[in-house]
Amino acid sequence: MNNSIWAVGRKSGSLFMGGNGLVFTRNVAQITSIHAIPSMRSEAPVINHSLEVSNLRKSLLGRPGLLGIKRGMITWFTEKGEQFAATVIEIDSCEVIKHKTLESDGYWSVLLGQVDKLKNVNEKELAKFAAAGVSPKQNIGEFRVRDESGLIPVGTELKADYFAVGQLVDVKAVSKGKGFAGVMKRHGFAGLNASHGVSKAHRSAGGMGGNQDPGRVLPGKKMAGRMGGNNCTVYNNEVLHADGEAGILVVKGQIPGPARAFVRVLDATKLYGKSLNDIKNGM
Amino acid sequence: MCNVLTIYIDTPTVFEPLPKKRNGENALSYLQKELLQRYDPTGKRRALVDSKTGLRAGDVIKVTYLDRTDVVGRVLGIKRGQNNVGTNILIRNKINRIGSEIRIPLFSPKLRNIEVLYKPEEYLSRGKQYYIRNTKLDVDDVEAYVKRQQHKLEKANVSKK
Amino acid sequence: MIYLKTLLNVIDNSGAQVVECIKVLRHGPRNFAKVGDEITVVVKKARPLQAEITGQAANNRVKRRDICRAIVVRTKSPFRRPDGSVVRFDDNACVLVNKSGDPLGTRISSVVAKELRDLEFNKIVSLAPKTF
Repeated sequence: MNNSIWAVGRKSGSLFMGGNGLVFTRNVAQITSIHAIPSMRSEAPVINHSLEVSNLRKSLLGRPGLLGIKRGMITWFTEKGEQFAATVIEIDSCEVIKHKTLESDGYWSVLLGQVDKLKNVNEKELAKFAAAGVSPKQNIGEFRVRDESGLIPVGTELKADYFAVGQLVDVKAVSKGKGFAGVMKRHGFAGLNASHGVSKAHRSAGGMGGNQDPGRVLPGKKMAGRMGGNNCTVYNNEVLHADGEAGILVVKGQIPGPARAFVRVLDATKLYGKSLNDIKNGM
Repeated sequence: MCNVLTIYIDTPTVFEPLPKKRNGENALSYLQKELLQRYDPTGKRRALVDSKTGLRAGDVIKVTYLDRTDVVGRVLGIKRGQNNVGTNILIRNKINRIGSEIRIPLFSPKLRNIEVLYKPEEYLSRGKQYYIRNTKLDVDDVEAYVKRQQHKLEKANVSKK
Repeated sequence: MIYLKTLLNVIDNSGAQVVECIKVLRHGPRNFAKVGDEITVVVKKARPLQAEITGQAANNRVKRRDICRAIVVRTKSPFRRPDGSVVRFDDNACVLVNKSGDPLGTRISSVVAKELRDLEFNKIVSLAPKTF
């Protein structure tokens, strides 16, 4: 093929890559058909919805968080004499059970377990904990980390002083269930009048939308229904006290859920969270 | 951690759990006790709000702050709890004939001292005396009241002798 | 919690006895005035004018239906201090001021809240017989 008319084109680079791709010199009469150009292999476009690209894009923390139990609220005094309401979280035998790696699962993460469970554990479960070299646990939680530098060796115990006093943390838990709640409680509607002829509808929602136009209730209309009992995060709570020996973490303000709730505490994602793309771009 | 409890063939090893923290005590009560020890090392303030021997609604107290300012008033109620760091005392006084109330956190590091100025011989029947506000049972200017009572006591002592 | 239509006692010698709040100044909508906030008031009840009073107090005397500015110095609603203590008084009270913030009266008859000192109402604090 080298001695053919394509010699000119091939010399100056790829046909599809633009630039001064194909320059023909017309010495003798030539007939070139477009179909005579052989197909070329181009690079596959990046699929943004793939796991690999998502991993680069996702804002993650450099290290996992902790699992804990909410124990109740307390009055907290600072050295200056200021008073805050604070929440006590117990960190009880929180140990690393397993890693998930890019090769095996497509992303990096650390599995933690907390609270020893000494009864009613089936053999399949027992085998997992035996592999990690830790006692069987009641709760297991997974924390994604940015890369392999965030993986903590399996079997390590994480204590409450993992967090520094003064740093900010996010706390995730399941909020208290409120049952079937009306619109005033659930969405903060104003309700109807107490008087002026309102009959037995003082806490109802009122209008649902138009009449003939649109002739239906629009999707997403706020109505009465189950309230609470869903995952809830409070962001940027300050750590007031962290006692590793006693396993006590005190966080300023309120956190979701009742006392004895299973909570996940992690570094403030809005402050310390970064994606691999951010790091690459020097952000 | 390497102590093995049970070894059977083909059954997974069960590792021994970590030693219990705080000797198995509840985390909240452990922390409260620790904090009370920090804020009140001598136990003086805890004794002050003891439900049997401590303050009672009707007593007159004087609270001094670290910056040497003080507040005097009659106790209307004490909010207690089991080893509660949030324990506080509500006191009422009349200053220039205006009723003024303040709820003071007992274990606040800003407090210097709490002094009992006067304990009446007869108490009203309730633990929380919110109902005395703006009635004939209401407090008067507390400092003048204490002086009057002490004067009375002295007189009585003199006449006895 | 001082809203539109709240009645307040006046504790200075400007001549007013009871005033009614007609505007909470520099606050968002549906908000209320606390200790140290400025409000606009209308005088509902005033002391009768007496000939003997002279000096600054006489010049600044207010009458019924006058509209003035005032600073809230006591509230019946409990308010919290940063050290955790909660304070409440038995009445809502204010001190009348002019537009530059100086008190109209020359004397303040009863106790005012301690917060005023931090908010730099120094004149009111120094005139008051006691802070609580």
